[in-house]
Amino acid sequence: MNLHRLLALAAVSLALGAALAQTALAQSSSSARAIDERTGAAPDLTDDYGDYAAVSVSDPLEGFNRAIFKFNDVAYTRVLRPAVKGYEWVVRPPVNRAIGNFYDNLRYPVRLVNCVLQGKFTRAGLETKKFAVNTLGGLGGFIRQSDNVPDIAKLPREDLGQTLGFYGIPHGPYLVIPIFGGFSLRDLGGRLGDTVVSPNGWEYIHLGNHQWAGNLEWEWQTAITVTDTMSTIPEVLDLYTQMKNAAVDPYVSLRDGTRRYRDAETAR
Amino acid sequence: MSLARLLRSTIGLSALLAALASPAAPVDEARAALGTGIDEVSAALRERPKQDDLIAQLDTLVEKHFAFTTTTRLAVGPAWRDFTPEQRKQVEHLFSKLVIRTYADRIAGDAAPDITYGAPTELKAGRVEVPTVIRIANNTYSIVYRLELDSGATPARWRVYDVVAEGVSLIANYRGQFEPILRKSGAEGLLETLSAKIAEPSAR
Repeated sequence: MNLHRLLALAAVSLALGAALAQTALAQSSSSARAIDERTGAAPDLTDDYGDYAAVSVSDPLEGFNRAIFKFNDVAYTRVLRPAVKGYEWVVRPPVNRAIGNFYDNLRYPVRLVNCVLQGKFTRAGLETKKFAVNTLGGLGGFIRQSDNVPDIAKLPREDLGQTLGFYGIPHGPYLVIPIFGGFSLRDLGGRLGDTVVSPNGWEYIHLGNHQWAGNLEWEWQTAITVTDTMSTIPEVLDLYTQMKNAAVDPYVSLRDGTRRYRDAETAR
Repeated sequence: MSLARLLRSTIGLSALLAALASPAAPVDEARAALGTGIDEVSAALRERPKQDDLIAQLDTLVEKHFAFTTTTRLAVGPAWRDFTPEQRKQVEHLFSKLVIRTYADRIAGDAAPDITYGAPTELKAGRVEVPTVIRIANNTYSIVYRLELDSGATPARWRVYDVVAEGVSLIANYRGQFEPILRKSGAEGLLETLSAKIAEPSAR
């Protein structure tokens, strides 16, 4: 079995695991609803403005997750942030934006495949139009020309995690991964699955007979991965810092916020 | 004058009269109030004041355009019933301080955002939701503002009580964080946590 298939299999089994775990761990989910049930009456005072009950994120490994979260926080602020400052000094933000656009454009197969998997054919067509506009009109994807074309300026992104959600696969428990951050089991599986489709991920998967990725020298493979990753980090780190400044409990804020964000994305 | 032109001008005139005669719909009032609020905040930011001055200015603007008592009440949730009037005032004060500081940090350095307003919807009497798409630098964000009618003020005004950025509601996100603290150490615990958070300098 080649690695290609193995990854796909891993993605599917993770998603299945998510479904099973969700059922098994439903009891231990950290739900904030308890407090609402406790008080019950007089909803006029606090909940007259719709349902603001906290999302219930299944987090049976909270202790472990919080430890990794703490580790990540130190890694982000002490290691990654200084590295990013250095990177931004070398690669100015407009240039970095162009690099980010380029890699984002390359991820077109991921969006296309997941549009099709969800039966969103109109959007699949628009994604194709966007890819054509940016590749042909935007110097191979470095300039995001699609911003100037109304119907493709803001297409909701699709990925495998959302496709799984579309078909009713539950999130499963929340997991914090060193460096990469927090995912639901379902979204983590989706992320791995998307790697198979994304050209940026191909260098990880030594497809023996693949003409392009398989024959790249390791220096190039590393360069591709590093620039792809570095181009997205400054923005993500900024958002992380903002979130941390605003939160009284950054762990909960990020965990619940990520869930709501993903659910809103999936619903689009 | 041709019949078609006569007809057209009559229709135009009656539409104008109708618009003048009937008071603006709540959704339009709310949408207009939000526009004014956002314009005033943007104007304050464009002057690029020092951080402390900016926070003072935002304080005034927030009082005018935000229903922060509602925001606080909903973020605290059902536990609000156990708060004394004094604790309610304190928690609102601390919470608004934290949110204003975060907001000032977040937008001070940014280029002027480009905002597109969507069609507002009435959630129920006295409550309206206005969707917007905001473009800053290379990114677009979908941000929904929720406004309530403050009929106690004269004249009655619409004020923002919640901001939902990319599906994440400000109120809901804070409620999720407050809830374990309230459950563990009650109103006093929340006040302490908020004071400690404000005392700690924000990271750059």
